[in-house]
Amino acid sequence: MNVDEWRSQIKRGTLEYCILLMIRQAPRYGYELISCLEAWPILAARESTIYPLLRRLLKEGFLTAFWQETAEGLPPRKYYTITPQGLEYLDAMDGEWNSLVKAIDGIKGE
Amino acid sequence: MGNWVNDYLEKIEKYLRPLPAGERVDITAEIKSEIMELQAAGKTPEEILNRLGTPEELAKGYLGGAILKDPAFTFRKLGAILAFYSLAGAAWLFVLPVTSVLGVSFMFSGVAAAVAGIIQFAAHLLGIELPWVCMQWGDYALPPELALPCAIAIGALLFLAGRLCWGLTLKIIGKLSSARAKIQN
Repeated sequence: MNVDEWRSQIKRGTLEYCILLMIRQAPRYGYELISCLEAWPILAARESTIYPLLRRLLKEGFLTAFWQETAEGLPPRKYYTITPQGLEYLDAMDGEWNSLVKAIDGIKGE
Repeated sequence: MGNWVNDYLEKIEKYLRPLPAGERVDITAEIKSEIMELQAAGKTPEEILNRLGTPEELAKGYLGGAILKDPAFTFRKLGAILAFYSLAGAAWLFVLPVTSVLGVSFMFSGVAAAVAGIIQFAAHLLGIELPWVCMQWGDYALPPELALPCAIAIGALLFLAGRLCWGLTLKIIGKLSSARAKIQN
């Protein structure tokens, strides 16, 4: 039995949602996002997925970014913050997500 | 900072050449920032390279996104498509350049045919005969009055064929990008 294919479809559909949720909590930089996602194997994604995804969200106007110096002598980090348009998008996603969860619960409850 | 970091970033920069310079600088700076972060966390070069993937893989993610963002034709985008197909793998080495180049050539020929028709018609109105512009089917040359609508119709058909090829190119790239996402995630 192999659920990998199904799992990767779920991941593809929800990664954007999870990233926006994390950035709504606080400004985040790419490596931080990837490390956070690593904590959950179903969401773990590689740099070559996350960075282009962040760039697309920037271009679509859902995120903005700024560079910030770090105290520890590391090079500056690129932080992402959510825009009002991104918040609106995320609210809509929240709505869809909640109705999906409700629907599945409903089906299971039969 | 090791030499390999510079090599790695230079390769990415090279593959991203179809993107605007500002964007390229920003992308490489961000990747460099992560490499330094990983180094500071005590990761070896092998571990870091393993994690980031090859420069080709990383660049392809960016190029695929840039191509699909809007369906309009630009020369910058043609460059991105050619760069993308060079990273896309052998199976598509043939199809993508054919559809993209055919698309561009058809669109160009369509416009050229219509322009030639207009030039000839205008010359005819002014009483000038231009022997180097004419609409000819085998031995039979169309009279200039008929040549103009004919040239415009053929031009439109060619242009349409070009748009179709172009659309097909974008569709194939879309398919390749999502297939790749499936493999990686």
